[in-house]
Amino acid sequence: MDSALPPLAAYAARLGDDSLILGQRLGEWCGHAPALEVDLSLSNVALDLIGQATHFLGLAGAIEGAGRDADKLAFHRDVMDFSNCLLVEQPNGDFAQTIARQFLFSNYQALLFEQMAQVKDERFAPIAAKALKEVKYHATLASDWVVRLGDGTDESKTRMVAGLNWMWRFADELFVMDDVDAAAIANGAGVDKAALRAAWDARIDAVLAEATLARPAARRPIVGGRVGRHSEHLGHVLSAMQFLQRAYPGANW
Amino acid sequence: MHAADGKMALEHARDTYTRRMEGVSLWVLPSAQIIASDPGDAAALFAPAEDKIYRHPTFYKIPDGITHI
Amino acid sequence: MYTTDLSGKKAKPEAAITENPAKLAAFEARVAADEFIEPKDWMPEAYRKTLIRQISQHAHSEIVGMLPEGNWITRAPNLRRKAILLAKVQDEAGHGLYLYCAAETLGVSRDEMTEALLSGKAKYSTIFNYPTLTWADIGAIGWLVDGAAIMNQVPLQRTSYGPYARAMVRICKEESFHQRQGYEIMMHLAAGTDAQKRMAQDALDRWWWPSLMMFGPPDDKSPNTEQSMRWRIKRDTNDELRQKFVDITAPQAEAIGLSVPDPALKWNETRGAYDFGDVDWEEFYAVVRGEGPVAKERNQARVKAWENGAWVREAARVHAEKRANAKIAAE
Ligand SMILES: [Fe+2]
Ligand SMILES: [Fe+2]
Repeated sequence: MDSALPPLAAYAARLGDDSLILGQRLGEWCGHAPALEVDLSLSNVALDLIGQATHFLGLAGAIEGAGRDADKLAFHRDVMDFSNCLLVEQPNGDFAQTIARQFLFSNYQALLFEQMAQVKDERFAPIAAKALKEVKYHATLASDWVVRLGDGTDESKTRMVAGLNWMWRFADELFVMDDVDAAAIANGAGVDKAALRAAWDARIDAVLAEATLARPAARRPIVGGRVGRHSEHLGHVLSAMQFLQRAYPGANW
Repeated sequence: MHAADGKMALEHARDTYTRRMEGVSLWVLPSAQIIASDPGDAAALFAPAEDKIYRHPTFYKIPDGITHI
Repeated sequence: MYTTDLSGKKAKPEAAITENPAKLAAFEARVAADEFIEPKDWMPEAYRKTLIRQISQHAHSEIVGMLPEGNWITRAPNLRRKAILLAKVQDEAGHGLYLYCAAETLGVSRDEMTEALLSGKAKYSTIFNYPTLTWADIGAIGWLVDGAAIMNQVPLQRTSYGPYARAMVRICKEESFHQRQGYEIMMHLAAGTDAQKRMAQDALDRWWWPSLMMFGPPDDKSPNTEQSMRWRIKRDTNDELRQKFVDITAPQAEAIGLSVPDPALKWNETRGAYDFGDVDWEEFYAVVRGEGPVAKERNQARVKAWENGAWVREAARVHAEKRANAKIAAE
């Protein structure tokens, strides 16, 4: 976590970082998807996420009040200052792994923004309301693919199971609450994420059932993303993403 | 549009044909049957294109002296 | 150009001779009157074949064209540029899709066209066999490559084959921001730090000549131009478009302080056009043969995407079948 950010700014940065890193990951697919139509879908999701990141990181910078804008936060922080969840930085893997990540995350985002669209804070609520329309679609798209792949061929089922297994260990982190969340709730901007868990479980289980897939076994959660303790993957994501800003400091693009 | 099923066709149609707010409703017809988008989903389907203003040429400021662009 | 005849061969004249003369005459008259030919209308076999080649080559160019720019999506310098580039490359996927659909109305399947691309049998624009080395290449491609494409595509909105013309209308509408975002990138770089200026000039140096090659071989080496123009599937000759491109682009380079890498480039008052140097046609034909600097990489990327996606496409098909069977069983 960026220790320089006041709690409410840190809260916005977490939201922005989640969207940014997942958008960045999906951008890797562009031109390489299983079908042309899927290329168009994944790019649309990526575009929505980059848009969300721009809004939330812009808000984080504005709340901080130190002159950092969304780009400054996106392109000039190191791994330990990024506060995205571990789920979104996971590698794309095959298409099933990408879909597993999207399925778990978009369903979480949909529940989160449903609540956040109602908060008192007039900066967070409108961004969430707009993003809600986007992520509802992402959740549907990903869920439909989980069903297709889960209840498709033997190979697609095996891959879907493997993809879910890869991502499942990072699902619990989505619902972990800490001081930053408490401060955001106290300020009328935050959402009780722990309270979303039951609804999320129900949505996930319903789709898995339709996909003829078993819910992966419960296991010890892996956490740390919110406080800057990331996987090895994030550094590589940043090294590509931040290359130009780092190589040409102060340039205007 | 290539799609294995109606839902997939609808999603692909949305992602292909409504990138610039051109959409209010979608119909996909696999020869015989028609699957239409639910008006209740209109916000999730079409509103996200609203702020993709960079898809429009006027978003880019080109100085007056430069022509044919 | 995306649609340039890269076969280098003259189409067989016998093709036209075997057609029913009355039908052929009626067809030629409709085309000459600028009527649209629709999928179920009678058309000469040579027309159908030429169109399939041209439209599928155009589609392949859109799809392979995603790769050089896609190469920079993860490295775009800020959030605005990242979103723009993603949207732009995504548009090209859409263009490929519209065009494959238009070609399918002529009785060829997308799978067949894809196989032809992957096996190297079908061609795509030579321009995409050059690498994108720096961010400035993204500017240069939007400005020059999309600029050249637009120049070729605008007249094709009135091409004789209805589905193709309609696809071009939609594509041209979407295309209009591509060139502008590219030029805007170049403007920023050319007005930026010394390192950025160097990057911009280097990109123009590398992309200028390949951009001129996009319009295809000189008119005296394009055996099928006359036929294609009569059929209204080509509306200007290669040399005409190339000249137009130079005339429009050279002042745009000058306006932002970049120099076109052609010592022979000079405004000719009497012609009212720019004189310019000779294109290296040896290089062009080598790239057409598949010997472009990154031709192997481009092909490998498409083959990989197709092969890695096979199980996904198969799963979607099988799933749909299962659902359909379940529905029948329930009824
Ligand atoms: Fe295009
Ligand atoms: Fe384009």
